[in-house]
Amino acid sequence: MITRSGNDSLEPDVKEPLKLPFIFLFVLLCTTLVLAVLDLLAGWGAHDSATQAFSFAYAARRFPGSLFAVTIPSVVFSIVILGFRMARNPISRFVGLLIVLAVGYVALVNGMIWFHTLGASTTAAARTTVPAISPSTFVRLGGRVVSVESITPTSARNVLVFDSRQTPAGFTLSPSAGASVAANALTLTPSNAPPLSGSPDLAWTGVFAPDRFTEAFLRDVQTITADYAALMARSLPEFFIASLALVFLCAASLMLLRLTRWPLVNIMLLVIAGRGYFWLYHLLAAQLAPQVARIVTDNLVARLFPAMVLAVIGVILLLIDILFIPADRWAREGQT
Amino acid sequence: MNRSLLGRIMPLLLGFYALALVVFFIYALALFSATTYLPSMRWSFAMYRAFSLFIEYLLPVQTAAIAMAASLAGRGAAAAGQSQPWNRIISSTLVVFLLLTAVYAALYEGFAPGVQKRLLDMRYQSQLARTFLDQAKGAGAAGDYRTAIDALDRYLSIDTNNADAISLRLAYEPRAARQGAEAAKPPVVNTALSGAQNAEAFMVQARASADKNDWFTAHFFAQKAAALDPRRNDALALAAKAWDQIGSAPANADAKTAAQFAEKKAAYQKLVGGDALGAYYDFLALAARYPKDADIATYLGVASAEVQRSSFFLDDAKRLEALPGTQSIVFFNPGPGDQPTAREAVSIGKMVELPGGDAYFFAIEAIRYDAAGAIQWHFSAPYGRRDGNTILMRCIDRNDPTVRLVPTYSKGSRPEADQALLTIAPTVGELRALSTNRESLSVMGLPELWGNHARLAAFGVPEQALTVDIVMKIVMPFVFLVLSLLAVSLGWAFRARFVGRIPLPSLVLTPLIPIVCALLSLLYLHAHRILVGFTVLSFGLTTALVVVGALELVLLAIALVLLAGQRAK
Repeated sequence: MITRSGNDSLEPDVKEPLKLPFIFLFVLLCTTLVLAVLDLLAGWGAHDSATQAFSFAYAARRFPGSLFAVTIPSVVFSIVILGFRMARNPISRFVGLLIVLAVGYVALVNGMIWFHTLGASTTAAARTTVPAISPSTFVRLGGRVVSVESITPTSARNVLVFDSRQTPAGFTLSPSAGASVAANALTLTPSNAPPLSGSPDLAWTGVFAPDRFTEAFLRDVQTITADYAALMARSLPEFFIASLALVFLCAASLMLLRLTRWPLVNIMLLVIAGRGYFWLYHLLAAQLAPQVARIVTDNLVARLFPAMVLAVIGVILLLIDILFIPADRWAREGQT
Repeated sequence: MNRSLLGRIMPLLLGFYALALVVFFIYALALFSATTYLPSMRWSFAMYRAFSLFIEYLLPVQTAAIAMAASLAGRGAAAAGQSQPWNRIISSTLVVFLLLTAVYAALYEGFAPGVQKRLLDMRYQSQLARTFLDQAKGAGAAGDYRTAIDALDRYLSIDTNNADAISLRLAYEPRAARQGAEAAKPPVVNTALSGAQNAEAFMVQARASADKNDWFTAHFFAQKAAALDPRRNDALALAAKAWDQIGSAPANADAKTAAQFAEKKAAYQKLVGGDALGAYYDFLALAARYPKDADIATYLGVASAEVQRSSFFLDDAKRLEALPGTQSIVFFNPGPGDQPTAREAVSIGKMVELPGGDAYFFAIEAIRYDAAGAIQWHFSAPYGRRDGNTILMRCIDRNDPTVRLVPTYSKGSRPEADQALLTIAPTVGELRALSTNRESLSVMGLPELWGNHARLAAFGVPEQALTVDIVMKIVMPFVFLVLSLLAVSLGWAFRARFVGRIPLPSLVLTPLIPIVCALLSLLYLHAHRILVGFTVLSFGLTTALVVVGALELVLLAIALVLLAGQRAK
């Protein structure tokens, strides 16, 4: 580290590299805890609040799953925060890269394995994908407004449907209707009206629904988490390689913090890059990987294709860092 | 530092506001759909939508502007060695932030719901106008030019300057005139007699009229007084005397006058006999033939007022149909106590509110069924008018006795006296919140939501949704203030390391700042919604307010600590 002394000279702080892993760990723990709690509360509100109260037993069952779900974003966020520290108090780039790679990798791999194991040992029931409809309230279902007196997984009683799209708009009452839940959708088949199908748009579950930008981010996080979970289940070496690729990309991306002489812009660039990596992974895994799998005969290459792309980007960023960007730009510019 | 922090922040902040408004205006113009809205609404749509987007994205705009300004304000300060104590740098900025928060709260709670409502109204009016135009073209093609002109007039009341509609109307007008179809203008109604409210007041007016030999008026008021207080023998006596005087035509009357008198008396008999509607049409016909007869004009007004206690005029409803209002209202109407298991559901296509708490309803439908799912009655009515806690659904034509719109019962029936009436529990304010439009809550301000949320659950709206919305509306100004403070800390902590003009690479990357601020502020808001939703669902409104209040205090304290921790150099 380089610190300012009384006469504005720059002196390296030899303890800084030793502090960094602990700072990372502290940030990671705090971030993981906060995000996991939010994930737990959102999951309960959106899926389970209609059927069960929030209790300690519920939290204990679901918390490991939430921890697993937020591990990747927590590690990425902690690396970014560590990068802020390293940009303000620069150390050797090589040492910095090694520290971030080591602590990030250990945290990611161990975190995912432990939380997955912990989650597997709990007895959390499969999440109810379709929330129950409270009697005496109107909800939207399949573009229509519906109210039911009571509902079970197979039948519903006194199903009142209001269809504003029909001409004339109007109510239809069915004393009984069949009900089924499949593919995240509730289907009601009233005896005297066309079937209704869709995810009930309950007002209170809408409370937990994210806006479209946050939703896209959460979708991308889910994609990468699901992919890593699948890799972990299939082959640990593949999972290790993919984890290393992700952490390496994040570590290499810290060069963005020194890209220009305006730190604020650099930070924004790093944040948008971090967001972009999740989006890129989603694009690679969901759209490009199936096409690559059709072209490439080696299944291993096809499975690790997204991780390989991330690693290649990381290498490019690292080379740019070594060749073009001064290690202590913030400190040096601050003195000019 | 040559300029104060506030001096740096304010110009950039105002510049960002202006730029955001311009960008949103252009975006709204590009977004404008001529199929959803009338083309003539393009500019007003863009204006309202731009303002709506501005309020929606004010958090990232504000955060980005402040972070950027604080970052630029600190550049070169360290190099130049010029600095003031940090508390001096930041104090005026904090005061301005508090003022800006108050302005934001006023915009968010005061103006934004109205703007949202206006956008919804524009969409509805566009749909309605297109329906009128289709009706007009259809009627014109069928040769019914009177109907076509009526529909065109209604279209033009929405899209006033539409050249095509105006030229179409000009083309239809002579043909409609040839059909002799122009409707008679509604008579001027005199309701001056309806002022008195008690028996003595009626008797005073009755005696005064008797003194002037105005026996119709004397009889009318004496009847009213006797009806209100049957013990008043003087009222009965005066009524009998006046009736005797009315009983025959004046002695010196010619045949025409005698006929006029007889018709007038027959209509009057209907009025005092309780057939107000029959009397109204009789007096209306008489008024057309004898426009100078004061008695006829007077009792036409009285009959009209009587009629409007149980019905309303079709032309009033049609005139109001084009006005903006709350659409797609659906609710459960708490049923009468004698049948607790029965459930009554009501839908209203649109509600138009008038000054004074009056309201007209369009496309009404109601259904009542029991616990076994047996429908007791199910009706629909094209128009309705609010009268207290009742919807009157008997709609009559002002001039044509043959036109009468009443509810159509598709199943079951109700007693004759109740068939055109529906008692509803929600007030007009509550009906606004019962719209099934997704935006129904966004058009309600905080006081309105606060006042209505407890009762709305009985009408079929999940109370949690309203409660969460209330808490979020309370939280938003705190979010605004905390993010503003955090933005200053962020900008100042990572202030620019260059002196003079912004280097080109940094300048090129500047648009990233509002984008990242938008993403981060949306995440921050989402986390708030999760916490608010959880506390509301688990513990209710009061606890949620306490928890969220404590949370905001903690966040505010953290933001202030971070701000205080900044170095001036």
